[in-house]
Amino acid sequence: MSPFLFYFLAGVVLIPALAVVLSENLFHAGLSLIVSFLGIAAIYVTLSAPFVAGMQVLVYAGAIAVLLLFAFMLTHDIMKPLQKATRGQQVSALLACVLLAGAMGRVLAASGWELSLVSDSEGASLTELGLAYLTRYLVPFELISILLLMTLIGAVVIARKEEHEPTTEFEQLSETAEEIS
Amino acid sequence: MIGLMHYLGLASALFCIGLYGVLTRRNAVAVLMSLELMFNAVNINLVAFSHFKPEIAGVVFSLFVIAVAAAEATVGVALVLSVYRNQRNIDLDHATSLRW
Amino acid sequence: MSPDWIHSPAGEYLRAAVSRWGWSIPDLLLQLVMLAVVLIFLCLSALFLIWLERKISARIQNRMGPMLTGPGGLKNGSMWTGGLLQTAADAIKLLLKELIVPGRADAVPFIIAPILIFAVSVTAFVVIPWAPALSVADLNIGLLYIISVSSLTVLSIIMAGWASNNKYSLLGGLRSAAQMLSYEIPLLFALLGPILLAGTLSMQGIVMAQYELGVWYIVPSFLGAVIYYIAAIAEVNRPPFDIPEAESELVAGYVSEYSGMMFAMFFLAEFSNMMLVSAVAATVFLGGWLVPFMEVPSEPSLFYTLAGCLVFFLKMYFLILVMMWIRWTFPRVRPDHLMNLGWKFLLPMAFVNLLICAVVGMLEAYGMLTWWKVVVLGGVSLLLVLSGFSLFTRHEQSSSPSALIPHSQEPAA
Repeated sequence: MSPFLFYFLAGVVLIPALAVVLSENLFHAGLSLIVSFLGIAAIYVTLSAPFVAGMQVLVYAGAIAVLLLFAFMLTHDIMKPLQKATRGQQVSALLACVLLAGAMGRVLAASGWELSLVSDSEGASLTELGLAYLTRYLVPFELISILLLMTLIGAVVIARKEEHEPTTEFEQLSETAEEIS
Repeated sequence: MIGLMHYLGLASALFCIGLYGVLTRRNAVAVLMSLELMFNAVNINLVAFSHFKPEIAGVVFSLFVIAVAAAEATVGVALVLSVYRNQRNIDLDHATSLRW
Repeated sequence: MSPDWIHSPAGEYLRAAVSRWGWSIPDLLLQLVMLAVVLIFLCLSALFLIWLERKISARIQNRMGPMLTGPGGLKNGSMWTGGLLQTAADAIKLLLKELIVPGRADAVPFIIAPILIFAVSVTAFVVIPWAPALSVADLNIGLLYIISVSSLTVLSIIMAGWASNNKYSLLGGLRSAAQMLSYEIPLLFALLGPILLAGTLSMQGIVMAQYELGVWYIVPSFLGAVIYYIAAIAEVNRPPFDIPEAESELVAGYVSEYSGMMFAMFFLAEFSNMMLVSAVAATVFLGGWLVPFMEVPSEPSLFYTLAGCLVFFLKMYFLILVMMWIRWTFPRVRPDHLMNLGWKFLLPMAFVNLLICAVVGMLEAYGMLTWWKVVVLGGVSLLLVLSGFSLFTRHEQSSSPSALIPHSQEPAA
């Protein structure tokens, strides 16, 4: 893969990600989040995992982000300005992030993985993936379906009074779990 | 050439950006958005390892992460909605009735 | 990555035609040409379909429809072909109009939304198989690609609704988000049955699997086809499921504030989305480019390519025509009925369909599949649709607000 493509995609992922955490306008933040998700889907394609990319677009960009935008619209009060963190909080958060980034960089440097490790693996085919889910990873797979059922019921109970929007989103997820098999 | 390290670096950067958002945002929905960024950073790592050290587990678990993230977002949004219904406000600084 | 179609008869033909002028075309250029052909086809087809819809609605309502623009004019034109150029004239008018961005609107999402909604539906057309080996790119996750790309449509509707800064737009956007998210699930589940039978997500692979099975998937998965079609109509916001843009209550929903070409983009997108869901239904349930009673030649032939293409268009247009027919025949569904239909009827039925498809798949895998078993299963699913629907309607009637109206006020039957 050419470096140019990688850095372009990295830009598509990271610049909107910055907008997500910095933008004053939460609607714009939500839209940038979707751009970032789509960039990540493209990254998966370069990593020869097109199925994960499809799921990323379907679940993250098509469902989770839309759900978050929906929640934002339902709870947004135009009259109230967005409450922001104080300068001190921002500085300390920035410091924490820089420290974490430094630590991760240190770990990566110490890991001894070659920088230019190149793979020409074709990636797992859908059949292999399906077999893996139903044989070796059967227990986590079933656990996920139980988890999705639990969230479905939980979301209905929590948000019961007026909205049944979250349920909608939920089934979507259980369906993706089914589809994975 | 672009190798494993580049992807891991990208994921680390994304994770830190998400962390910054979680720490500085006050609006609950915005915090959820930043959390999703962090989930995605983890996923990039999983898929990258799976690609460069061929092993199917990375892809398998990245799909698990997507499913769990969806579950998390749904419950999160349900909570946000019920907090909003009670307080007409979803700033996390105001949701302190359980704090002592 | 050179796509299959380049080595298909049409691609070879094109290559030969160009090389006669002493040129040779690189693969990438050919692919771009193919994309451009698809794009132009979509736009022209949408123009034609808009005219067709106006004409059909007119005939259903015993009117003439557009008559003036086009061959013949009012006096000499035939009732069936009059006004053929009407949509072209409309398009020119819309192109010349000013693009108005409302003063308090959120300009960037407002402008991106109509572009995105059309781009998304064009992007999804990349994997549609027009003929054997003839698609812009035959991805091995083809169907998932279409589903995931078209799940972005709801996004641009939300963008348009919010950015317009207008309460009708916002209501339309919210309604459509709820509707499209709900109906995506039965839509996906209805497609799961055929995917299970075909054992592949590639669109060409699904068509070939139907050829090998011997029948189109509408037979073993009849239930799935019906559910898919209903959910698809809801997904493209067509009447009777046009609650997001219900003219009589929400002005025009999320398109209220749009003018000129941006409005035209929404209009184009509606029709190209119709074509998209119909093309997917034709591929998955009606055998795609398979010509009935004809063997698929082992060596690709130009004749079969053309015939397959023609048959595919006929199937697609037939489904679109049925959509128009439904639109002008049924009244709009009430929002609570809409949600109940999706969750309480279509989704359980889709599960049943998945089971039936699994049975067919098992029978096929063990070589025990005979045509009468397929017919019996198809009959069972038909029976299930009918009984499920009658149960559902009875439930709806007893639980809906209309049951609260005293009997004396109900019109005499």
